[in-house]
Amino acid sequence: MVTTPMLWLAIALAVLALAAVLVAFLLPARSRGRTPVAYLSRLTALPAYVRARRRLLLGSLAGLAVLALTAVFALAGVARPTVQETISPKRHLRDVMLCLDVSGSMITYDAEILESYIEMIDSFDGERIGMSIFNATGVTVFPLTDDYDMAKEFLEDAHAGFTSYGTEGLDFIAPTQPPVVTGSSLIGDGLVNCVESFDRLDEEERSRSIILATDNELAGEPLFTMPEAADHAVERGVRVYALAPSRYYFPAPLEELEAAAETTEGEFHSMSDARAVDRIVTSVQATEAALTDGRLVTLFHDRPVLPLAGTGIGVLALLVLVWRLRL
Amino acid sequence: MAALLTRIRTRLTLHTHRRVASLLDGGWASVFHGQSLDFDDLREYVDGDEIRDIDWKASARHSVPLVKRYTDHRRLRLALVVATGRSMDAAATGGESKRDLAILLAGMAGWFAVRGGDEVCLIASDGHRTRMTRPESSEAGLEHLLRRILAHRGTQDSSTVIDHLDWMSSRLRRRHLVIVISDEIDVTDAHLRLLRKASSHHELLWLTITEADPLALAADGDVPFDVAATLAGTAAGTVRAGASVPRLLAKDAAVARDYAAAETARRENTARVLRAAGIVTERVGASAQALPAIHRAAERHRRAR
Repeated sequence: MVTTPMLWLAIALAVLALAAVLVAFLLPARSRGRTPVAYLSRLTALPAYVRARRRLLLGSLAGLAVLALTAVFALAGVARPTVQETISPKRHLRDVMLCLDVSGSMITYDAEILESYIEMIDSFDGERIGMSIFNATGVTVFPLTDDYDMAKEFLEDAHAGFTSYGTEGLDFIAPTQPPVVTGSSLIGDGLVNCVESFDRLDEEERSRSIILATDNELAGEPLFTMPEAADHAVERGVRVYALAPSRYYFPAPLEELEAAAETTEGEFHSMSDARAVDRIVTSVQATEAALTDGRLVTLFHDRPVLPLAGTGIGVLALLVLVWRLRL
Repeated sequence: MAALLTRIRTRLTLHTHRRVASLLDGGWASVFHGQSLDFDDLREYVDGDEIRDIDWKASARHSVPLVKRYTDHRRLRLALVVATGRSMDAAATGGESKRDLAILLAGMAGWFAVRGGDEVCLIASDGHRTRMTRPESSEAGLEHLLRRILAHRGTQDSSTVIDHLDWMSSRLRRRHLVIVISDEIDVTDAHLRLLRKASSHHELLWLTITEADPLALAADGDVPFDVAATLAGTAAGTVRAGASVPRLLAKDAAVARDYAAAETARRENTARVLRAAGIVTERVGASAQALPAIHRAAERHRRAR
């Protein structure tokens, strides 16, 4: 679409030009040199005169037309024709919350899980990721963001924290175990906290997923049981992908976890499966991500070629006409 | 009151005295073919005097030639046939108004007549038809005649001297010295009969006031417009579209060539017709040429007698 941001200037100039022409016509002609002569028809009736006069008239009309066209082109140039282009970069509207159980039973696995997460981040493109940890209480490590570098930094710090048992990097254990809260490993509460981390629930159609790393070993009285938390996730349209360490002795909690994940149309993966992380990522990305316009970017391109070329050709034509008419 | 004539007389006295004197001293009397000429006195010869007027016997007794002066007892009647129509408001070749030039010519001729004691009458249009004024023999009367010419400034009258001559041919029985003062009207073979009749009945001198050249004016940066195309009821100088000559056209060689050819042909035709009618003509383009033209016309007329 062509817009003309300087149209007011062009209109103002056109009005000025018209006013000047009008004034020139309305003002009395120069007083000098208007001599009455008699028997002018002896001259004006000559065929040569009639021809010359017609030629002059046609030449003047042509000159006027060229002048008007040139003026129109020049004014069009003054109006600054601009093509406006609006670019809307498409973005993947997927939100992924990493939900990590940092209870005592999981401590030995957490470093490994964090490695998986770091690996996972590399395969994301356009999705927002966030992270929240829980033991007795839930703590948000970083909210949903597409700043992967920052997320990776956090994860690497956390990884350092787990491998050094809190002596360096981030300590995830102390903040999630406040003394006022009884019990630990409140998995249902942690999941609900994770579900609540999603924003724009009413505003945007987004694909929302949680990657929940837990062994589902409950130690205390949670506000939400695992099925309740799963129902909450379903209610919010959140899929839960469970990532659990392999257990052979007490399969019941894992079965409950698997059931919960399936309730939310998510999946259950065991950490013994080397390709579990890949599969989760594939599954997350396979969910139909709502695509929407990103921030609109408007670009303005000037289109001066036609007006300038027209003006140039018009001026040339005028010069030729002036030369031909020997003005 | 005598403003017009005063100006003309000033012009006459400013010009060479010789021409004026010779014109007065021999010119008009020639109409009467030497009848009733009485010897008046002698005076010294000056250049331009007729050789035949020299009194050889008197000259022999004198150191310088002397010429005879005659007194005309009969009163000469001068009829000024002057164009006063619309076209006279246009410019003459010299740029002056043709009407002013006509007044000058009529005033000069009239003043010579009045000073010689002759009667002058004006035959001109009153705006509707041709009228002849009562004969005047005084300077005041002549001034009155000149004012009649001036009074028609801005008229829409389109009559020409041909109309006046036509009128005159059936009414003016007595032989007159008729001086026609006109601009460059078209005189064609159709007028030949009328002109011959007038020329045989009267002594006819024809003074043509030449037209301004519109192409030359236009080339000079002027805008010549047809005086007949002035729109009635509008501001002065407002003319019909197309009744003026654009400057650019003045540079057109073909137009200039064709116009010059057409004008030459027209003038030659006019001159031929007037010659065929036996009329002495002189052309006047500016006031400076007025007196020499009158003088030449009188001389030529006297020789043609």
